[in-house]
Amino acid sequence: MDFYVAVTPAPSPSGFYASQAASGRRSSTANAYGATRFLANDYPGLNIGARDMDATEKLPSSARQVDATALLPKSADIVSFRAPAHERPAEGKEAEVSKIAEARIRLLAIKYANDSISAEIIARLEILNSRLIERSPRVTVEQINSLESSIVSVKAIEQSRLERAKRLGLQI
Amino acid sequence: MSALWKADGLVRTRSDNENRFQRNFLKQAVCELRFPTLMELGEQRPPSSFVKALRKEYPVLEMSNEFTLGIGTGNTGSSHIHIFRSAKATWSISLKENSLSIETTAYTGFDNLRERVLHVVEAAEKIIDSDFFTRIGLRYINVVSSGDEDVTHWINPYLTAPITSESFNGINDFGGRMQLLAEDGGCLFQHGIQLNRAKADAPPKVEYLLDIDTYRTEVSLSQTPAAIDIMHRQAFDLFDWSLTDKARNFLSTDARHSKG
Repeated sequence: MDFYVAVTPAPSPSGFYASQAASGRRSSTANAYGATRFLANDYPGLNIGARDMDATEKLPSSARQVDATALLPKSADIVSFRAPAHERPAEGKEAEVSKIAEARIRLLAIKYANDSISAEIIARLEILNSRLIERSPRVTVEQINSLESSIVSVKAIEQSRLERAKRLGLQI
Repeated sequence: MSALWKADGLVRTRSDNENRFQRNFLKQAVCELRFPTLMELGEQRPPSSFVKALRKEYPVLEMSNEFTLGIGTGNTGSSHIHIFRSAKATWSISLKENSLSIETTAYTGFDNLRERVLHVVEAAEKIIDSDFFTRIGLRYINVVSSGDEDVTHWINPYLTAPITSESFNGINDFGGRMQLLAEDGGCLFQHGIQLNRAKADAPPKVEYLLDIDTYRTEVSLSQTPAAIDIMHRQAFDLFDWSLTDKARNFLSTDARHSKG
């Protein structure tokens, strides 16, 4: 399992915007979610960049262009994208739990490698945690049933012991 | 329209001009929808179902890398951003591991923007593995250009008071920023003088920036249309408040009939 997040070495201008956003220069709680960002276009005339550094994220205009149709997966190399749970084919419970745990570990790695963490990562971790607890609970239903039947059994033994003592006139 | 979010009450002024204007000052508009991070979306290949749903209207696909740099050796990361552009490149859809945005530099009206946003949301529902958005933002960048007239005559005097009061000389830069905040959303308003230096041989033209960014947090997929409507309404109320009747009259005339 890959515990590390892949880092591409070549720098990009978009990184500078991201770095400023990540630095959390504005400390107000209002900025916990940041501002609405532009990713694809740039308004060149905007002269409030310094005041608005968290707000707008641009991409380099020299980004590689490819025809959308060419990027559609060919039948031979289709990698199935994660479908909603109800559409996913039935697979081993262990495999599913392992997949969830793997995704969780990747996010936890990011969480611990960074000083600040986005609301989106927290939200996904919460989702994965609840799925993990649901599919692989620390205490299973079988264990609870077993404990409950043990309690019933102990109570029955205690009851019969009391009845026997009463019948034989014994002090307890 | 009844309030669904506490943030809906942040702008108290109400405009009667929503359907009045024939043109706009918009330079750029974006609707950004953030969702719980899904690392798969940051991989090299965008989800095929998403590509298929958008390729008719957005046939050009670009890919870019986003790098996150921060203080300390561990604070770095990268992921891919998939950008789908319309044939004329005036509309763009960006998809990354935790957000989706719809941007335009050729805004023609809210109905068109709304329709495109909901189309993209419909395509995204199948891939984001979440039934809610952590944040939805709607942002409009307007630049008011008043031709030969002084731009301050087109802007609400409450905003330009330091300039129009004539208490100061040599104002080199001027701007303001107001953050409105509620538990479930907010609105960021930035405004100020902007110098347009498009013509190299002419002195810079003075214009006025009105940048309105309104957002709501934790919005379920089913509430998305309502959230977009109410955020647009809020942004428009604030935009209209920022103008004077001179600007409103200009916006009310059809661009085709005003020339020459």
